[in-house]
Amino acid sequence: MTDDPLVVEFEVAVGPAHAFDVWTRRPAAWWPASHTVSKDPSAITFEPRAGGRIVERAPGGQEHQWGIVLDWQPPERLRYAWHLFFDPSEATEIEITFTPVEGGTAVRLEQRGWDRLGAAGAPRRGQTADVWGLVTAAYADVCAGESAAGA
Amino acid sequence: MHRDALDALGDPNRRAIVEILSDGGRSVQQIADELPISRPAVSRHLRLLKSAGLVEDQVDGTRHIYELRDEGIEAIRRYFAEVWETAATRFRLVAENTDPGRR
Repeated sequence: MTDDPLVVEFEVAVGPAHAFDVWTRRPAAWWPASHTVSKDPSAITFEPRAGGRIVERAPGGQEHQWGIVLDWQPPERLRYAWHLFFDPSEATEIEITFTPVEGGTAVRLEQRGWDRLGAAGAPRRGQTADVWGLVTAAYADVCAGESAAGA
Repeated sequence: MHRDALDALGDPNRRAIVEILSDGGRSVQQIADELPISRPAVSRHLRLLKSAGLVEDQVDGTRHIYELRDEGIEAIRRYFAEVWETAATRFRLVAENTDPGRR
């Protein structure tokens, strides 16, 4: 179903505090560079508070805002509006939880907003814009001629 | 197929058309009325969106009514599932290689 949230779950062999830290303080180390505005970000920064910005810094110093932190609850939960290339009104919502499990942390990511596009022709009340930040991220990838799956 | 769909959405006018169609089917003229571009330009964009599998059209009398095609959107959603899987794999490597709790 296109209106189900996209859910990605995996475990990592580190504690929740470190997992949260790597997610929010070192995204440039793990987020695929092909899905950034500059393709070669010098930094991707989460301002560590609700209302904080998520910003990509390009090598030339330009800043590209990706979104806004909605909930900042280290080490267990993070929620943000993510638009990457577009207007803040075009943000989808991402919620991530870091739950301690034996041997590490269970990471669960949920991305919402697919229902805005919905079934062909069905009347929709809301904006469809949420999805487009994502779509343009993919578009940047297409422009770069990169493989969708990467690793 | 999904790569075509994403390429088709690289243009702001085509994104705008898809957003308009998400409220329901429209004729070419109805779409053109909502955008600052000509009707022939809308037709060109619709042809591209159709070939990418994102929209389909039905004939209603003398008019073609364009609608979003669910499968196209589903393809984009699947694409993003792949992006997150890639990001998650990289995240796991970085986190485990920088863990201060282990040597």
